[in-house]
Amino acid sequence: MRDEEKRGRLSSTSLTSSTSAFIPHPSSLVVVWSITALLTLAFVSLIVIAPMALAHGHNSAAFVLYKSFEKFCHQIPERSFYVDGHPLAVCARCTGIYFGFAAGVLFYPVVRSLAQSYPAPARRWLLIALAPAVLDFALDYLGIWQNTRLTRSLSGALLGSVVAFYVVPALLDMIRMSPGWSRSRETKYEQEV
Amino acid sequence: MSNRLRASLIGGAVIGGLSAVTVIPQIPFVRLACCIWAILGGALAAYLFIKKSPVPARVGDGAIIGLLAGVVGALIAFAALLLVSFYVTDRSLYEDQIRRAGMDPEHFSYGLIIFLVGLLSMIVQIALSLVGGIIGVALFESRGIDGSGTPPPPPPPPAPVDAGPPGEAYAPPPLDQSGQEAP
Repeated sequence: MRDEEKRGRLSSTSLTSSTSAFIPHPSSLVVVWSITALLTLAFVSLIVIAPMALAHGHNSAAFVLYKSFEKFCHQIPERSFYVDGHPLAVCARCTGIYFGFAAGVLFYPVVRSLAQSYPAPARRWLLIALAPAVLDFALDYLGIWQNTRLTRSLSGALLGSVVAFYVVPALLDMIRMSPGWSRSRETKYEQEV
Repeated sequence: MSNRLRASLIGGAVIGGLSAVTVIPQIPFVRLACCIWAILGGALAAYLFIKKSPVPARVGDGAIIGLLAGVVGALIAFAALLLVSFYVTDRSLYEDQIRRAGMDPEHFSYGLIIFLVGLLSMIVQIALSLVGGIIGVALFESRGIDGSGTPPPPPPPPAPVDAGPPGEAYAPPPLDQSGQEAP
């Protein structure tokens, strides 16, 4: 049965919701992780490219980037990190979240095997990671203490990196749930085996 | 309509509706929460899916639902952005911003800027909603192995096949000295 599962046949799991689960080829998991890592890196680089483009005279590109991120962040200059004399496209907290997420995705295979990434971590880790960011915001809002760019970015980075450990398993799980996508690869794998 | 589609449409409508408000420049404060709305919309879609699902939802389900909700919401928000930008907003406000950014509005296509900004925003919104769907399953699904609730009961034992006459217990085959099954 184990060999059959490895070859990509239907595994009879009682936990699937609506679709039958496949055990995908290990290279499928690496491909999904690689695409996720590349897209994440591309995304976070846009945050840094915006001020660099502005500093180097590419005003139109900088304008589009700042305008796009404006919908997702307040972009208050006093609450942002600076590159080349201009603020990043998002605030310090958002910068922490996005870069923490990117680091989490990149280092995911070092911490946890891609092949054994299911199930995702328990929800308590998410709540624990959320607590510093909520405290940092709430204490500042209530006037109990003044947070800084460093505390905002660090609490955001913790949250972002932990969220990555939920997102990567979910994306890998999508592959397990899509037999149509993985079947062609499984057939090749079966032939190799 | 499937449970997944229904949940995605509701979540997407919430994302799109709330995000559409943010394209109105006269309401600046709601922009601060836009990223939260995309995540909340994805999480709401996941919650609605879990509520109606007879079996525990997987994190993969959350990703798919969040993705669908994000696409629906992003399309609504994009349509709202185009409508507001071309028919409601005073174009001179935008041209002022372009001028302040050091560009000449005469040589810069207003439509192209709006299109590029809308496109990039759509991508970010879909990604955030996907994350929201995954977080939603992690938070709200307490029945299965993705949540922290009680683990599901083990599957029933397989029905005996050729068990022999009743009363005759199964005896394992004898082993030789090396621990292998005797021939």
